[in-house]
Amino acid sequence: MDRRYPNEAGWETFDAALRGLEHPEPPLSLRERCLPPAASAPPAVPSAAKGARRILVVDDEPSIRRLIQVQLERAGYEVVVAVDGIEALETFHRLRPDLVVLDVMMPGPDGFRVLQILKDDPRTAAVPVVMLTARSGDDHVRQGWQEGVDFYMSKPFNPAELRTVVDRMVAVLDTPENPPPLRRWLK
Amino acid sequence: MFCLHPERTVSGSHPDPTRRELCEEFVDAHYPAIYRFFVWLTNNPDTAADLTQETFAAFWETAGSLAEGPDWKLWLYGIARNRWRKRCRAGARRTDPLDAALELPDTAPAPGDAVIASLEAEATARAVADLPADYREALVLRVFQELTYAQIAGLLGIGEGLARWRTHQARRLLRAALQEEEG
Repeated sequence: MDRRYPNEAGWETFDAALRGLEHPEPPLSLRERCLPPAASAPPAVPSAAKGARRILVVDDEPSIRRLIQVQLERAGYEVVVAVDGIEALETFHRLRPDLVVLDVMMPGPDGFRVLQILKDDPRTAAVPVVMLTARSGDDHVRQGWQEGVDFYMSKPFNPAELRTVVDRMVAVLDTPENPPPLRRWLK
Repeated sequence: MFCLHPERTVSGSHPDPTRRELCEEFVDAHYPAIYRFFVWLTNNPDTAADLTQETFAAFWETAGSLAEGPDWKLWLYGIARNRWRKRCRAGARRTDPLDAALELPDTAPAPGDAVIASLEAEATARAVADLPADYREALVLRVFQELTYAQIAGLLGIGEGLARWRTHQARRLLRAALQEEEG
């Protein structure tokens, strides 16, 4: 262990005493409430505002999230946000966005992992993903394309440019015969 | 490949009845610990039960799309943490910013026998719940959930040194609070 950081010497007994305290038992009914729901009852997905496309914006930086949100909302999109990879997947499955704007560097599963999960699942693979990254090295860009990203933007980015990209991708959402060319090319 | 979701195979067809059993095993293995995690964080059994239920509901939503590889336990704690954070934001519970330097040697004396002997569940729960949120979270994950610092760091999106430091600060504050309570 790095000697600069606090260590645990002397605290072992304290920790053991804490662990030895009487731990609360969960209520009996809780187990049933934690089991997965039956497949026959999929949760209802709240509708987006009439005519609006729903965009999921995932970034752990509040200022970036806000910047993108304002830009896209001005363009008439309904924007939902998530602060990390796990929340992104939760929100994705709950709200089924039409497009995802995804940061790469995040706590927990990073943007590449989230991208992989979405693109591996046939139910979610067709949803376009725009990745935002400060990691502009060739390997990272190639990794993103290989995982199925639909468009890459490097940070710092121009919000108006992002909006244009989103506009164009949304415009072809209903035309599945137009898959993202770069992704097809790499495969 | 393994898919934990009970009603779905990796290919998206033909549910496998054994998956339901796997899910039940998973719930049995983790829901008491997740419940206690929330009890320590909130000091409120009802809130803890609600948050536990919400955590598993969200877990099943996301687990359906996971084909392989994640550390399921950490994934679950990641969701749990997000749930708690959301609840904190909604309730405007205190979350202290991290503002101190990291490179502090551990010069604090170990807690004395009197403090250790005085540990009592109810008072300790109150004292833990009064810790700043960042410290409380690190302490609970380390001491009660027994995650490694590397796991905590990954979960919280911080460095391992910072995870150690937050835990250390939490211990110091908790010890002081218990000493004060002891009089």
